[in-house]
Amino acid sequence: MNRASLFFAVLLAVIVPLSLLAGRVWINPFAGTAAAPNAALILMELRLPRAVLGVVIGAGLGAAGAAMQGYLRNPLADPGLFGIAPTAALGAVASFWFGALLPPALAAFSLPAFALAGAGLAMALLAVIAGRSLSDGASGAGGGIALFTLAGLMIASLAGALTALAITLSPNAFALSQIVMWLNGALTDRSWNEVWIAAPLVLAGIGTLGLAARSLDALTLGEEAARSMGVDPRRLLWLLIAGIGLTVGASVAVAGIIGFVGLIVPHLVRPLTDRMPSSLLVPSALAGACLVVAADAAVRILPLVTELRLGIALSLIGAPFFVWLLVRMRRGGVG
Amino acid sequence: MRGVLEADGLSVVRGGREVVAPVSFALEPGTLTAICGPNGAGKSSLVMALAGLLAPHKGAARLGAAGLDALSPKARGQALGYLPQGADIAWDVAVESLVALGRHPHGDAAGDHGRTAIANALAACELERFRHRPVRQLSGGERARALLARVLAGEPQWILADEPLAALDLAHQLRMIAHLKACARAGQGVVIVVHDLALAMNHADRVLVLRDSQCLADGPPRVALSSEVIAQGWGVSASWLGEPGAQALISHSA
Repeated sequence: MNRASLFFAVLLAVIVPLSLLAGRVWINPFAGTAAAPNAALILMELRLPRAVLGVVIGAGLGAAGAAMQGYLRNPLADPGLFGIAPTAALGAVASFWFGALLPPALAAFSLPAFALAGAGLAMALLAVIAGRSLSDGASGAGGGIALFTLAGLMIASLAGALTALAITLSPNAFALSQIVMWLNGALTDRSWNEVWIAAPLVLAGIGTLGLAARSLDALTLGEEAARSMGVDPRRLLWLLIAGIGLTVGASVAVAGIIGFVGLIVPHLVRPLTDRMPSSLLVPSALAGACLVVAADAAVRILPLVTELRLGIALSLIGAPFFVWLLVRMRRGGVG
Repeated sequence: MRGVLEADGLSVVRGGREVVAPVSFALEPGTLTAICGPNGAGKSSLVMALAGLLAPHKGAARLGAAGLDALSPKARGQALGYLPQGADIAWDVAVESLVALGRHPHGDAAGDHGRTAIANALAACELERFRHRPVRQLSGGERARALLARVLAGEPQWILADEPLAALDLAHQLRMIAHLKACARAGQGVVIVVHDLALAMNHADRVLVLRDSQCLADGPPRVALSSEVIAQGWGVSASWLGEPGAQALISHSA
């Protein structure tokens, strides 16, 4: 465990308990049950699952971002580039259309199931494209990674267009508002059910990305040098597709699209590490968890009529950060 | 254990164009081979094919008796250390971390043997005092040395380096080629692409001259870099001056 992992693990250990106390109803840990008679209920059934889910999703998005930046050798890369998040969101949107056709027992799980199916579809498409783009790459046509990323962007934009189509054709105003809400992710009213769906998938995804970590280090010197050091580009790409698909797909399935975590977090973490992609993975997961839990607590306590959506809040922080990052890169200060 | 690196009717096609026409040669371990030729002659493609990174269009590249495509990526990575031309470094890592990547095929960067190999490579490239310095703070020549040290740290049977000396100052060029010769004397095979014909003339055991994807000359430097070959390959009229081992090239006209 490196210095950065330790730092963010400690930070997370502080942020999670604090976030449990914050919200519409403030819980004073030192007061008896008299102060808030339903405090135990609020903690166990509302805030704890929400905090745990925040940890799971933040960790998944943070690790996915770190792996993606390592793979594309670019600090501006984001797990969204593979098109998995928009496709999962499209799956979620489809469930608003088709969920009503399902028997009620299944309907409760139709949204995450459809979203995961969407993520799976994107992964399958990427795998097909990977098979074709890398068969060239192995014979030295080069640009394998760049070509592949463009294909991912095309999947993302296709899914985005289909989502927009679903919005314009939405059957009623309620479905419309549901779709729009989903596209701006949140952790509001999530229960332990969502935790049980997302946690195993995200953990498996982070583990998969961990298997790719050393190959990502070798990629620091470029595709050719990495291949000369025994990195199998095909295996690496499979690991990336599976890892990003599991982490991002599971996140979107339970919380909707939460942007910018995967972009910002590796940047915050990088200066605290030796900057190798492998040393970034675990601290990015921990820092992502910190960011999402903290941001979620913040949107709960903001004095607004309706709760600010977490996805919107993070984009509000993320966009200015991105600009600042670009300005710093122009001065050559980032890396 | 140490194997001959062999091209057997090897040709390479990239983007539909034949960049290396069928060529056959066998390079002995313990020697330093220089690959020379004008820009676009196919030098880099030939080195990549010898490193097993470009599949031959026809023919084969072999190490010992085994075709390179029959080796596992890991075994190939351990046996053949390849230095790409002008490689960029994606992240601002410390010199020592960069050099430690050379142990990737062995997976022992943290082990005793791995650490010794990394320390030796840093010493060979005179990088000890830059050990903890981020690579973006290095000069071009220092960075080139760090990248070469990465290859040396892998202790490969064969060092295949694409223009390892191009960014180095005169003193470092000479020290680096002396080190590569020492590697060859110790039993490693060394193949380098060089543009400085005097370096090839004075230090290589064997020179391959490529032009327009064809192998123009192959042999000891005095033969392969004769005035006639230089006139044919580069279209430059030139002659050698000085003692063998310390010769300089005088070019007369372009």
